[in-house]
Amino acid sequence: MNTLIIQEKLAYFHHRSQYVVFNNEGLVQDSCHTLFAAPVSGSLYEQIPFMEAMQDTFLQLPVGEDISFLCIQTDLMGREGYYNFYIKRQSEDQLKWFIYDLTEFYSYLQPWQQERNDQAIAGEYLRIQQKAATLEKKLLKYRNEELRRMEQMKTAFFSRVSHEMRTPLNSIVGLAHLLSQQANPATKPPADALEATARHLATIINDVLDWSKLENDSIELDPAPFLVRPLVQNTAEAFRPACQEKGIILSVQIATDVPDCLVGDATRLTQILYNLIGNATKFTHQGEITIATKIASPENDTDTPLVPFRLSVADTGIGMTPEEKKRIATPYVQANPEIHKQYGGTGLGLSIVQKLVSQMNGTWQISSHPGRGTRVTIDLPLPEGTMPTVEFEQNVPAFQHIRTVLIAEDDIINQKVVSQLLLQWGLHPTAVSDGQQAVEQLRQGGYDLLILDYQMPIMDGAAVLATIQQESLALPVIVLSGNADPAILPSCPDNLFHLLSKPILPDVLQEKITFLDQQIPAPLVDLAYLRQITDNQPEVMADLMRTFVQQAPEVVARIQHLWQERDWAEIRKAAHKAKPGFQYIGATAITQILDHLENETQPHDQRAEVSIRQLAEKTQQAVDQIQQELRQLLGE
Amino acid sequence: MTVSKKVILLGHYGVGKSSLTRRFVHQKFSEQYSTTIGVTIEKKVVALPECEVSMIIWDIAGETSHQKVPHSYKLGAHGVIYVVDLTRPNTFQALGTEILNLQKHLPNVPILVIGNKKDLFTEKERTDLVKQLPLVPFALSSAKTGENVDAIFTELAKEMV
Repeated sequence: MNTLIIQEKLAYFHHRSQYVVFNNEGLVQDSCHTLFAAPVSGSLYEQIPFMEAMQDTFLQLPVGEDISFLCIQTDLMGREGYYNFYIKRQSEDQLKWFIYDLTEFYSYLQPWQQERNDQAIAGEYLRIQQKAATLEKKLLKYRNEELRRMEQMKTAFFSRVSHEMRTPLNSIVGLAHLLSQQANPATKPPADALEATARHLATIINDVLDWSKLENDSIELDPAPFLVRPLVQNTAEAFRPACQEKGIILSVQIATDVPDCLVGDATRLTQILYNLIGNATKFTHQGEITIATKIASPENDTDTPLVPFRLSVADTGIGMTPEEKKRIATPYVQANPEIHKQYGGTGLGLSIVQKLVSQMNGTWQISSHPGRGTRVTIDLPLPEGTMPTVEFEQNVPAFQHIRTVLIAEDDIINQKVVSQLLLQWGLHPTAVSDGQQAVEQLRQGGYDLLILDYQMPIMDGAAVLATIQQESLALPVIVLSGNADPAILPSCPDNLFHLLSKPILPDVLQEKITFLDQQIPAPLVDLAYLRQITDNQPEVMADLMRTFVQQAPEVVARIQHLWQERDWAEIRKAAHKAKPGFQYIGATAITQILDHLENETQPHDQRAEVSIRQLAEKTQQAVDQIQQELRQLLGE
Repeated sequence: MTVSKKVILLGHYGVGKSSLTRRFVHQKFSEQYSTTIGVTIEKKVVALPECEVSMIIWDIAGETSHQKVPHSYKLGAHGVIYVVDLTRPNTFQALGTEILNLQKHLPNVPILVIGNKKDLFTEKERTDLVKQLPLVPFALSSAKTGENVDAIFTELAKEMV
């Protein structure tokens, strides 16, 4: 053995190790004392905790066997550190204890182990958090599904119950109506009350049923052409009695630029309007409710074929706070608990409106102030429509010039009767309940005829007629009065004021409107027919108008030439051939002249000369007018 | 009369074995986690009515299973305190098997299972948590507050003599 190496090895490890030889009682027999001073008296088992703990084991250790203990942190006679111990039984009563001080090595190792454990523990917590997040997600999903299921169950239940209730309720409403119609004066009030109650209940049931369908997205819109004015007017009229009973003014304002016909689901649009006016009526105790329609300012995208139809219902009712406003579109929730106590209702009306408007790709806005009232504005982009031919013909006005009629009548029944008659004749009625409103409407313009009740609140018929004259609001007026004396009418140079005595008979009213319609001088040209036959296509219209501008003077020149030739047969033929061209542009007066030339002109008839001169003059005027229309049409 | 007893503390790393030992021996606690390597040996004498018990406590570095602990550390043990961390399910998921193996390895040696860090839970949470443990622990403890620490070592001392 190389003693040098042994010496080096001993030198290297010597200061870090120690041996202790002790007997079974723990008494030290020998030691090198390198690390600590082994006790010379007393047992190791009593002075070193490690030895104390292992006493039983060491006593049982067989001769020749050893045990190792690595990395023991303990106190060896006041020397704290990390040690490796090796114990070997040398003989029956002797053991050897080798001690290696590895404090430096284990102190170096400890931070590495610390970092490893820290990371492992952090990983455990991370996995716990991830698991918790996953569980939370599952729980939320489950809860959502549960809520959805409960919501579906609730909706299905309401739907079933509502349906079961609605069927007999419809019968009750119908029977109550019949009962009310046939009731004698004594039984009419309770019959009317029964009908009103049944209708109210039907409204609630319908709301619930509709809401359940809307929630399930099972309501499908049925767009079709509909007439705007009758829809708005008739819906508003349904609330007229209730408003009148509460002393509220109900007015309808339909702007003149609103197309006659739009394409949409008229039933659902009526429902929207019905709910809004219903709310306004319910929550308004004084003042007025105004239903207005107009065309909103066009958006930037002017190419869109949709009409920005705006509908608003404004009232001077109790109004709402901003917090209440937020709540009202929530199903089954009303502005505040007091509302239900005081006014009843399902809390579904505005939710239905909101859903329907959304389904129509529209928007709605609500502005409201407590004590001042509420305005709900709905914007619906709807295509402009034309009524189907059959329907169009049914609604073709029997009148040439009168289209829009303002009815000023405080008696609701009369209002309804007159409105209905006018609608049947293809006219567009708008009703107001007093003279003041009538004057305001007339100032806005757009009416061809006023049907005026002579005795009305706020401003009576006489005052309205005086205002019309003062402000030169020239239009024909049919005054309805119980007094048949024409003297009640102010004198009018243009003979615009006409009296009809009450009760009004439909035939008489129609005759009077026809008479007034004929009195209105016909315009030289009227492009309504041309628009109709060309389906409003500008290119086609322009083409026909250019043809007219080119051909009409030639036709007149030919007739003038034939007149100079006194060729009566050719004059008749030329007049006959020229008529369709003038009919296209609605030149009724010229067509009548051509009629005269075709059918009544006789040789040497001096009136023919007058007619031909008028024909030339009016044709030139018509050509000028058509050229002007053409420029407008082409945007020049 | 004083009897010496070797007590070993087993359980996963970070469950609080060293903290329980430090609390019991030195009445101290530190929030700072300091991992143990190998074994730290401490000693405390517990006075029982009939005798004094010199408890030589072997605070063994945490392992996920006692089978990873060197055999010599467990040699001659008179009692075991097996510690789990109530905040970490990993430390008690295999508790049943672990204790069963330990009992086979150290027959007739009392083993107390302790749920540590009870201070981090409400009473209700602790009740629910205990129901999830594979074994009913001997006690829930908190090295931080010292709750039940002396009681656990004293009980073990009683069971060992």
